[in-house]
Amino acid sequence: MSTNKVLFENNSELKRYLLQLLGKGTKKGIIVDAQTKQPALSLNGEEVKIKDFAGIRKGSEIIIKSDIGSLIEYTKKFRLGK
Amino acid sequence: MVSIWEKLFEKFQIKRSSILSGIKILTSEEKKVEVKLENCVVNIVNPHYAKGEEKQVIDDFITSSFSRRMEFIEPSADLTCLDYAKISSDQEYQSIVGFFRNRLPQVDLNLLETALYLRKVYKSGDRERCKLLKTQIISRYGTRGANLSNLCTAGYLENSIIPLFKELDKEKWLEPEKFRSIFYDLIDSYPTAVFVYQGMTDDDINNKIFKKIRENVEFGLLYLTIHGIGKDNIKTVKRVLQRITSESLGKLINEEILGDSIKARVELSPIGNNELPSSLE
Repeated sequence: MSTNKVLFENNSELKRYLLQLLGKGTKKGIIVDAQTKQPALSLNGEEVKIKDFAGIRKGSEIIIKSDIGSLIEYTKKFRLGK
Repeated sequence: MVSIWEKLFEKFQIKRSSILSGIKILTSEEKKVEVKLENCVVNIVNPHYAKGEEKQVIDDFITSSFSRRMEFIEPSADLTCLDYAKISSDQEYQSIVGFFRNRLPQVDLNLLETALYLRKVYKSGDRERCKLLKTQIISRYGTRGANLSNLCTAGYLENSIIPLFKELDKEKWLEPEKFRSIFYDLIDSYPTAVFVYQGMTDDDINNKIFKKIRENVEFGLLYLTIHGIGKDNIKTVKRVLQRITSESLGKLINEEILGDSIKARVELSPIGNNELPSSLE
């Protein structure tokens, strides 16, 4: 663990609080931008349900999805720089 | 200027530590809001219940961390990322992915890498996690995802598919389009496929094909595609095909011979229409 990441517990109330704090909201269970109400997208451009929300990263503002395919793509791009 | 860390520490009366190794955001059954320093990790507990000035300080700390491009991630997802990063440096992993890199589109490479990760989890014996990952792979990549995962876990990639491509490449380096077409054909036709490659004896080939026929008929999969490489193997496959037909085990639907390779599709007879011999020899 390092200070370049923040680990948060998998708790739906906490996830909603964090998303709201970071400028996101939900609409019919899908994570959206709080201002535009447009879906906030995952690395490969998918909409993300709140139940599949595993993280968020600023920069290109990526929502991290919890499925294995998404996590591998995320690791390759942002942690291994591939 | 007072830093965002100092504000947080001051507000929650935390003694400064020169080493800070991480930040965790947690919940507890009590709705009490706490900020603690444990083993150099800042634990923020129940921030969603904070009010007034405490809320302001915590919210500022979190948004400031986010603005500094910190990654916010749930621990099990973080572990998966760490685990994958480790696995992807394995020689076995790199050798397989390296073979297919530049020959398959990115989406298929992603699937292959996911299947290799699943294989590692399978080998670790964690069947529950395997089941979950397999469901996620199927949801993302469909039947091809399921098939490639099965082939990969069973060792088909390095034992059958890569050797088969290497044989084909010896004849003539396969163009990417041709390579992909054969690859998809192999993956999509599994589990109703048998791969025969050079170095296998006639007995190996007979046993392999016959075993597959038995399994498929037993499970009601009434198709079998036989892929063979090499002139001698083509002859053997043809002999086996003759035997399948003459003993009413199935009928030949299609046969393609391309250079040194054969692809034959057989429709198998259901159980009851024939007596399966213990060997085709």
